[in-house]
Amino acid sequence: MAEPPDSGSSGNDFKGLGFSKIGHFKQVRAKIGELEKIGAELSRRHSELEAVINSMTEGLTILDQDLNIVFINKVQQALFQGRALSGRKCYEAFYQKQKICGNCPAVETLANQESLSGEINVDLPPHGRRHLEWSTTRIADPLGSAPRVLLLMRDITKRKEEEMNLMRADRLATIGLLAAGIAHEINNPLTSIAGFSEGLLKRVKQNHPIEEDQLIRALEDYLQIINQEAHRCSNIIRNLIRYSQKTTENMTSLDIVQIIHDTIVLIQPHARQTGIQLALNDGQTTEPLCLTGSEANLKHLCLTLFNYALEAMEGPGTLNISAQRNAGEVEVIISHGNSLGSPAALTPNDRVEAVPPFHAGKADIGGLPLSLSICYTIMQQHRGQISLQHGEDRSLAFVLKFPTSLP
Amino acid sequence: MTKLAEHQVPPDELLQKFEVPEIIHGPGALAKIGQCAKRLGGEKILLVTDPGLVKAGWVDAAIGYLKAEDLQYVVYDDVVSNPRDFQVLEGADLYLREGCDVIAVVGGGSPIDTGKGIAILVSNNGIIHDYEGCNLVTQPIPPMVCAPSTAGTGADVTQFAVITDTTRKVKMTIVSRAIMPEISLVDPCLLKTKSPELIAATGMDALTHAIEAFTSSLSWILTDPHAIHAIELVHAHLLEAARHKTREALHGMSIASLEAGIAFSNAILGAVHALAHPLGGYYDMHHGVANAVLLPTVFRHNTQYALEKYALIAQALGVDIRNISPEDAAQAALEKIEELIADLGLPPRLSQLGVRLEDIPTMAELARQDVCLCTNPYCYTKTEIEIIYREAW
Repeated sequence: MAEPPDSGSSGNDFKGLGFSKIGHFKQVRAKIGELEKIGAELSRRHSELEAVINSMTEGLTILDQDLNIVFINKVQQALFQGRALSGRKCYEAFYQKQKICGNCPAVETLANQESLSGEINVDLPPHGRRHLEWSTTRIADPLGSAPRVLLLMRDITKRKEEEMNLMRADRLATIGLLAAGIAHEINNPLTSIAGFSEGLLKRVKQNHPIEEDQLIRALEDYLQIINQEAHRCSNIIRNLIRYSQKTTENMTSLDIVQIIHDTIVLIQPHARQTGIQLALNDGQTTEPLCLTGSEANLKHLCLTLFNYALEAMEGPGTLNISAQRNAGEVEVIISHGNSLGSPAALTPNDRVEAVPPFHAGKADIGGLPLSLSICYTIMQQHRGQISLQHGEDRSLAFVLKFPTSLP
Repeated sequence: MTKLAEHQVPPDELLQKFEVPEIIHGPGALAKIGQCAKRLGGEKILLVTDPGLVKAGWVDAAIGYLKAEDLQYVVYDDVVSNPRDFQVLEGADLYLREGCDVIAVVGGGSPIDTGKGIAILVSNNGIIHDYEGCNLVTQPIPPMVCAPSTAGTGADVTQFAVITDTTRKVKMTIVSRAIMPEISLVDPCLLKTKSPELIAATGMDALTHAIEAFTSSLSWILTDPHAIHAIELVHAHLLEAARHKTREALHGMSIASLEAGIAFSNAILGAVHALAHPLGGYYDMHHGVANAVLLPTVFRHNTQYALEKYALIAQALGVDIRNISPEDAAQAALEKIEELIADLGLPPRLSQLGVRLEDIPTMAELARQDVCLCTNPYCYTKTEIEIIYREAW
């Protein structure tokens, strides 16, 4: 027969002397301890983040999905001095508009999760007109429902001014470089002027009488030549003056072929000295290749690149310049190579590199001359892209792509 | 000081314990269910009940009281007599899915035990089978408020829950101080909608609780008065309650059930319950009916092991014991009980309830292993249990 259950120990089990309703107190206390730890950690991270945000030189704004400003840092508030920002719509607070801006980058960033950046000119009393660089980044919501946008703004007005000054200095330096060729170019007409005017003087001073008719005819011919040559000088000088003028940011619709042509006129004398020909291939179109841009800056760009290409050529040859429309973009190719007839001869194996961005204000970074950094700035201003192709035979091509219109 | 040094740690056998929940009793006590649930920290209440109570309108009433306190609620009413393990699991899933906090029960022993099972599962891991036995609940469980709708189970004040294991076809007894409800709202009005059969069966359950708690080896001075008073109340009111549902009788039975519950939760039970549990598992027999059919036979066998107590039970059942021997008193008590069962119209024999003779050995083995047997005045062997089953057959 099986043993009956042990009533003694079971009886004590039933009494449950060591047991009772289990209260949540212990659990709650443990949870409170845990939460306190998490809270301390969070507040430590919070102060760290706050310090990071306040030490930033950029103005920082956080927008909710309805474009309400939910957070701004001190720099941003200082940028928009005297304006209430927090809690308002960004377009009201920053740009004093009643409606959302057309192609608002914050909305696009929210929709596509893409970070965007750009520049904008804003009137900011008492600072006056300021140039601001901005970027938008999406902040994912941990629950996935209410994403926000991080908007960074930086006042780059001073940098812009410095860029302008630098560009002008660079242009003047280029003129210095061109001086020899231009002097030679001016010297020819001046020699003609001098020669013909001396000839005239001689005739006038001759003692033996000449027939009046003959004199008048000669006078007309000689003056005609003198006048033409003087105009030639004047044109060259005017072109130079226009080039050296202080640039403006004014963007207008212009024909890139005309710009290239004007630049070729400027650099032709210099090129001729080293035995290089500049050939413009505009695809025989009668239509102007229009894009929106700054005339002075684009000329500077062309001149610098032509000059760079000329330097890279090691002897007589031809520098080919082509301009054409390509898939909604205007494409300019500056190429040379003694074995290369045209840029089309560049093979797909050729190394293609983007010209890396570099800071204006530092003379020479990564072996690229200062002038190229200015070219990069100008391309950025035109929302264009610049790339450099190296052929195997040390040939070189710059490829520039411009959008036909700017947003 | 020397006395303190001499103080010995007493063995647990010398210590007793008495524990009861907060109890609110009286007609209309159900109205406090919203207040109580809120007081326990509830915001979203899992209301456990059964379809009969929904039909009787008590659930709507309870919901009204919950709403009056601005409480949210979810109703789980898929509960049957002898509640099943999967029903507990379903209820626990519902509780977690709906993010409930407090568990409220309006119902008899089955919904209350289901509520206890749900409470265990939602904060302790695993399945309900893991908690069969003594003191296995280790994590705090959700607060519970119960409004018992029958007079008999006492589950609203006890540390017991009995759940049917549907695979093994056995009733699992869970004993744990942790699962005692926080608040019991004993409202006699709820008994009005019960059928006479149910009042009879649950009333016999209460009587069995009281008798077994009184004769238990763990009974003591704080449990005995409740047990004896419960027996007196059953004797005075059960027949009247089953026959006429008079207000006074129902009131008496609600107290009887409550006091019997208080007594047996602390003093535990005996052989009747040990033998009744297999009947519920095997034949899905109503617990009250199973107790009633076994009580007289077990009573007769038990008498010799606690004669004095059985004589006092006779007194509580209205027998004048002043001039008779304890043996005669116990015999008189047995007759009183058999008479009551007959008057209530409950079946007196196991054979009338579809029990098969060939199942008896297996059931006897299960009964021998039942925890309730431990506190019986005498611990029967398997053979002896088989004999009792056969006598009751």
